[in-house]
Amino acid sequence: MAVVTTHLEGPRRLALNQLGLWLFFASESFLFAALASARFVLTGTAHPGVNQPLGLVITSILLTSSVTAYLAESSMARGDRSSFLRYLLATMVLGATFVAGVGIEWTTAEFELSEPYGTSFFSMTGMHAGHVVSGIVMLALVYNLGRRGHFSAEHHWGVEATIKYWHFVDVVWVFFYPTLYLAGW
Amino acid sequence: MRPDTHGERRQQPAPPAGMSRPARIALIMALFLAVQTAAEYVLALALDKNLPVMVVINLSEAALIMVYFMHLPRLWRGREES
Repeated sequence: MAVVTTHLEGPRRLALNQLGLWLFFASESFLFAALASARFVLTGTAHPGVNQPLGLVITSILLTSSVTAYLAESSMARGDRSSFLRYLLATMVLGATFVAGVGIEWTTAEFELSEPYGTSFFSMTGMHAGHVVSGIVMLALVYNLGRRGHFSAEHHWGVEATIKYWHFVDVVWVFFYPTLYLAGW
Repeated sequence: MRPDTHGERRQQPAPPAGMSRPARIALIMALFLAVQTAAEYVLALALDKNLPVMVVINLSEAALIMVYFMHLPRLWRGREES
């Protein structure tokens, strides 16, 4: 019996990796879109008792972390390991600060989990914060590998995929922030 | 014969002054995202029916991140061209 094996190399393998990652993002988007639509169905556009300044601050922090993540990736793409590690560390710190901000919002919220808005708010921010925490864990793994000399300017798919995931989590918050804090019609 | 290094130096293009391309993209993106987030916040507090404005601002914000940070065009253009 003949066994057919395929061995993908170089650009073709990378292209398939990219496609797979974007398909994963697409599937995740359905989950987040379902949560966002449930929020509008349950409570309309009411956003009672949210801390607007805190929402703006944590949004700014997460967007800034995307800038540092991009700088980390581009540093590795040109083989600058020390800048890569520095920007990656900054990204993790900013991500942890965002999670801490969400924690403050949770503990000071003026609504209960049992209320319709509370159900939407805690499920959306909880699901998103879970993704941020998993992103920080992956960034920490990449940081550790990078510190030990893994990855190079030519081969850094692990870095690229992790940072793309981080940007994806950021894009989700770009829609969650107005959905929870700002939107009205 | 020694090469005319002085002449070579004169013919070569000057090294790029200031920031690298990624640093320039990061700075421009940071400015865009800051302006969009501030505009979104101010407009949301100023307008009751702000949903269309929010949708436009957030779609453009997400598109910028996907194109410049997530390199979405690489999916169909390939790594070298993007």
